[in-house]
Amino acid sequence: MAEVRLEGVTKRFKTVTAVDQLSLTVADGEFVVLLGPTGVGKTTTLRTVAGLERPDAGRVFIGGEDVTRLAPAERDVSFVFQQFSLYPHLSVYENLAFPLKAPSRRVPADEIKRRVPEIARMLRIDHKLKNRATQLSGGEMQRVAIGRALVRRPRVYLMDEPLSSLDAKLREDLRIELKRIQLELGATILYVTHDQIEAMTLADRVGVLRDGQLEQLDSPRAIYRRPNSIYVAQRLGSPAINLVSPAALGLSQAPAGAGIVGLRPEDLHLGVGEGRQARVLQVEHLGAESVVRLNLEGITLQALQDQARPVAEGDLLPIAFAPEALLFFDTEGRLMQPEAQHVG
Amino acid sequence: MARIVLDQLHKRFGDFVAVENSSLVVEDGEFFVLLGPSGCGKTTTLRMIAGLELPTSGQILLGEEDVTFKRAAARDIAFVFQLFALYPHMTVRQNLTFPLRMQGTSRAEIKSRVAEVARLLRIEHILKQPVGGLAGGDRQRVALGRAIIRRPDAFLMDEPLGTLDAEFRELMCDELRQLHERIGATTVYVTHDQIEAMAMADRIAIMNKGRVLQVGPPADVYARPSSLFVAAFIGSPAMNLLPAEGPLAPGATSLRLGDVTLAIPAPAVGIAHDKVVLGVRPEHITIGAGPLSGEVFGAEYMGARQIVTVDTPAGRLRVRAPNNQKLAIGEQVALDFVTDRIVLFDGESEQALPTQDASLLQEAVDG
Repeated sequence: MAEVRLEGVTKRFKTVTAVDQLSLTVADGEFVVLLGPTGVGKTTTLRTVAGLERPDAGRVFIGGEDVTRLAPAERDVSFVFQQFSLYPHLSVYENLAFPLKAPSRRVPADEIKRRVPEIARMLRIDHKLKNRATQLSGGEMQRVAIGRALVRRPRVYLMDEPLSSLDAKLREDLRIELKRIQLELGATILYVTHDQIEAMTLADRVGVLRDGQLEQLDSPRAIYRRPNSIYVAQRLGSPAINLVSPAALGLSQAPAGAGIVGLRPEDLHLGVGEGRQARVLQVEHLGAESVVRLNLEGITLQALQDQARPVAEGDLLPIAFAPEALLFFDTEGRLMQPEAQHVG
Repeated sequence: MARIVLDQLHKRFGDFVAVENSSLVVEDGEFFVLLGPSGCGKTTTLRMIAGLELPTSGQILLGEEDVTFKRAAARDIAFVFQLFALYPHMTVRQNLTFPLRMQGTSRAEIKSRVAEVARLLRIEHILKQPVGGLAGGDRQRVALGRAIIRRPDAFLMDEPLGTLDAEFRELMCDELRQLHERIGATTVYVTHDQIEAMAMADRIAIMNKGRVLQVGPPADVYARPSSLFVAAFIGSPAMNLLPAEGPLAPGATSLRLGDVTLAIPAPAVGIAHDKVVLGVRPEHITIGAGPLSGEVFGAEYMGARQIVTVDTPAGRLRVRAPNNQKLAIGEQVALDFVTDRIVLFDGESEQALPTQDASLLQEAVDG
């Protein structure tokens, strides 16, 4: 496996700048997920690494080698697309073995015989090796498609929303399998998604993109707990983070220059302490937890509650939160550094 | 607005039974969700309520009226297919008024209804704009407005949020629910997404293979699934379902699960054969101390919580743990279950066993 490095990569389509002077390093063996809504430049970034797009400026390195001018086939990368593309007339075994049989790769026959069942076992499709690709369910087909990428030992795996076409249960199962396989292979993976749960659960580091630029690159915990802008804070967390003015939360001593304060719904506690009273507008039961929508003197807030604590619409409850749970953003929407925050 | 009654509704397409003797009552003003996997009969049921399909047998009442064989246009119902279906060459106002002009509503009436709907949906400022240039959220509101403006007896919605990406879907879920609170119209909503169903429904009907398996408020269905299918379908991650050893006597207080004995809520009826399934939700398992041991397969950080996957001799389990609990892959851990939240199933009939103290459990659920 190898490191991937982008240096000042820019890609324009006519008047649209899809990727804007993006620099990013994915360490050898690291799993980096690029997260952002549709049209933010994440797929273009991935395609640029693959060689499917030629950047207008900047350079791409794989394993220290400048591959900016190399054709996709010369880069030694595997690409998994959103929609599975299998050979329908071949069996699962033949589909998995196909990438290894390319004359240029010269993988010995006994090596192929060893690797194909191994990958099939990891993805739990080993009992289907003899089936035709067309006899598989959607989930199995996508497993084979992922398997076809993993069976090779390229320098880098590139994945573009590989789980998005699967139903929720299967996505959950495959997510944890994929992470496990990545750890076992020590694979370098650059992965693109708009699904924040996938980003947080799979990544060693999450890169949040905004208008073709990297807004923040950090571990899932860091990016969730210390988002460096309101934009990043809104990309992660479900239900979304509460964003209100410091005065609305009744903070008498907000740091100077703070425009907005952020508070995660799970950090907003109900029915404890002597704090200000909020009216329960609505309770959404999501199973293990509920989302409580509150009215605090005209401001709407959301709290995430364990199901164990029942609250009902119309209840008047005191709210509480720890001062360290508050995230202060300046009027530009940037996170204020803790040393600049003097909260009483 | 109206109550909707489905009585022994049956629909066959050739040899295929799409809906099998299903009975349901949707109360006046209720937000009712039909939930199930694709092909379960939920959309066919909705289309029969709308009058787009005629049942093979059975009866449909809308309010007091039998509408079973009435034409769709003769039923006072608004069907929202895809919220994005708008006339692209018309302005917002023209799109909104189109259904009324078709009905021959008077100009004065149209004017006052447009004003009302625009205020309700907060689209007053864009009435003159062509819909072509609108942002996704506004388009969605206009499409909703077109359904509302007719003031139908009931709204029927077939996966209206299906094509939206996750972030936007969550927002529209909220808006739809709030709109429902404001106008209080009877709504039947079809989805295969259980999170959407849980978040929006007053009551859910879970369907599979043409049959209604369970009807109830989201919290009840979640806590007391009546069958293995419902248990596995509702909840994310899904309820853990572990094969355990029978037979089980009525009133038994423990159960063999592989090598360990676990405390269980006493079942009211026994199981004579050896196929018992123990169901426990990820949030009702604790990591730390307990009779069951296992190895951590993976831990997924999700911000407010983490989901830990543990391989045990009894099977693979998902556990919902606090986000600050440090767990390494390969680590040996001990697990315990919250006894009174365990649900037992008969592995052959796939039905949940009633507990002896169902009333006490109900209290625990209600708080």
